[in-house]
Amino acid sequence: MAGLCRRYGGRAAVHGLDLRVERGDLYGFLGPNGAGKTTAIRAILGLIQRDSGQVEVFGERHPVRQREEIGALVETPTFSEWLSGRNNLRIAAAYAGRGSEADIDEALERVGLRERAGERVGGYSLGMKQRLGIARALLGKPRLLVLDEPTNGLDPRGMKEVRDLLKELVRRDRLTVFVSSHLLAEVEAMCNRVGILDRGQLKAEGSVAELVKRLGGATHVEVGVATTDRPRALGVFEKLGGVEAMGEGEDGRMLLSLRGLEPAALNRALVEGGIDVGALVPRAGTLEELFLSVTSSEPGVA
Amino acid sequence: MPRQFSSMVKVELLKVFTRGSGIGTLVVSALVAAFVTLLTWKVSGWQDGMSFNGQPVRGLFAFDVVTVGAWVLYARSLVVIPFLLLLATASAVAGEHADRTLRELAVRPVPRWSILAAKSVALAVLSACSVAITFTVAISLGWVLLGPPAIDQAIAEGDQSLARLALGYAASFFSDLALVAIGMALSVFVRSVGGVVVSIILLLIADRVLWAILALAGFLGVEVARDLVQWTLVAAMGCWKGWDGEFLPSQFAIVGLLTALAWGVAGLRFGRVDVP
Ligand SMILES: Nc1ncnc2c1ncn2[C@@H]1O[C@H](COP(=O)(O)OP(=O)(O)O)[C@@H](O)[C@H]1O
Ligand SMILES: [Mg+2]
Repeated sequence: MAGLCRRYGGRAAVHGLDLRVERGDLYGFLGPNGAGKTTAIRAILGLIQRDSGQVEVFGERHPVRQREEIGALVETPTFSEWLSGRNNLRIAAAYAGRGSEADIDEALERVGLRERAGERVGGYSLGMKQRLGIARALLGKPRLLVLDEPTNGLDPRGMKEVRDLLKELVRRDRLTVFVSSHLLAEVEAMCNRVGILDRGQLKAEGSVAELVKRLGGATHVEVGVATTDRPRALGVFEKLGGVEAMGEGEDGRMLLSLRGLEPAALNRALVEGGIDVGALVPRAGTLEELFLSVTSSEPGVA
Repeated sequence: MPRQFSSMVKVELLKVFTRGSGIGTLVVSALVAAFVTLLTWKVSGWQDGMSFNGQPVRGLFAFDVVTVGAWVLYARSLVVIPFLLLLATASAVAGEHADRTLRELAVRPVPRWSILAAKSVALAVLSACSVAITFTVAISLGWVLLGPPAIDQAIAEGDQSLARLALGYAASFFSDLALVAIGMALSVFVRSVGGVVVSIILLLIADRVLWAILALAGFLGVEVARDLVQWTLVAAMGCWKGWDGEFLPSQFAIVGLLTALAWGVAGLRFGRVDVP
């Protein structure tokens, strides 16, 4: 199954990143803004110099031949604005060395831009440009798509359309898709594998199910206590052991991760400590918790 | 050379010929020719009514189609057309770097240098069109207004024929290529259109200062300076000036060498720059 493997290490914005995407994956490259996703993608595509590290695409190491197989969208896609959408795709097809007029039509059709392809790109909305960028990445039938936040600038319907399109490309057209996003829900909704990037380092990688399991069987609860009771509550948690505060839950409740401790025992301990428990909501472990626990929180937030 | 090179050139032509700088180059090429030709025709008309020491001036200056074509050739090499051509080059490289459309080409399976090569071919075609338009307008308009070449003069001076003039125009295409190559090298380093314009102005000033120093040194008897002066940029780019006398092979060799050098530097450097 070692279809596709690439490594990348180097550059300050991204340190020693090692990741592997299998053939047929819809790989979510998740990370907060400024984590280094775009930098990593630029390095993978050979747009910027790598200080160290190698990239291998379908066993190919030569950067030019590698790109034969890749369709890419980096950050906000750019176009020759005074030319039509179709002419911009013609430019891409010419440089790709493949992509006939029929392919251009098909790519436009897939992103719903067939009707407006004759208009100047300068008159397109941000969402239309984003979709034209996706059409351009699809041109010439690449085997691997590398997409950097492709849903940027799209409305919720457009975002869903893109997610569905990517899922279809993987399922029906047997493409491999590597897609970056800072939106956890989006990655969770479409990807089968995820790598979480923070400050240029890969913090966790695996299938969505695996990653959730990696929470180590911990139970998650949200506990509602009065703000004034919080210091005392933290004291109780310390005495109990096996309780880790993970930040803020919904409605200002405390999000806790419990190890070897039943929620009922926690409740009892709090009540015995003289603290009123307004709510105790068990939560299924989600990718969000992992995301929050592995990515650095900003200073000032618990 | 990537197998898709000819399609790359085709789409670069599309961009070069639809940008303002490209259209401007072509329009101004026609305008310069028409303007200089009309001016010559006007001046030649004044001559008719004038007399000098009681003799009519007519025939004193022969303004035929070849003279007009020659003046137009000089006019084309003055600031405007080279500037527009440089602007077209800077837009194609530095401009695309700045607006990040260059990135969309760099993600494709072609070596970096071949992107510059495709753009260079498109810009060379633009220059060739500019030369052809200028020549055609000057000659046809000149012929209509001032009549065919003065045969006797052509025989007398031998070199002032239409064919020689056409060679001069062809030679000015070589100067254009040098300009494109230099514009490309500057683009790769400076990466903004404004930056390229400023740096070419500084480069030309430096070149002329160097030329003046060498010329002075040569005048004062320094042999090396006399040899070196032809290596300065503007002097070398004047290779077309040999049209009515003798083309200097060494001058063409120097222009060719400077062009190749600029292209080489641009190609090598572009292989290593970040195209974000
Ligand atoms: N050209 C650059 N020069 C300096 N710093 C940069 C440059 N590009 C990116 N960075 C820095 O690298 C980090 C990662 O940026 P980026 O890759 O754009 O993150 P992401 O795409 O995950 O939002 C950020 O801290 C950013 O400021
Ligand atoms: Mg980014």
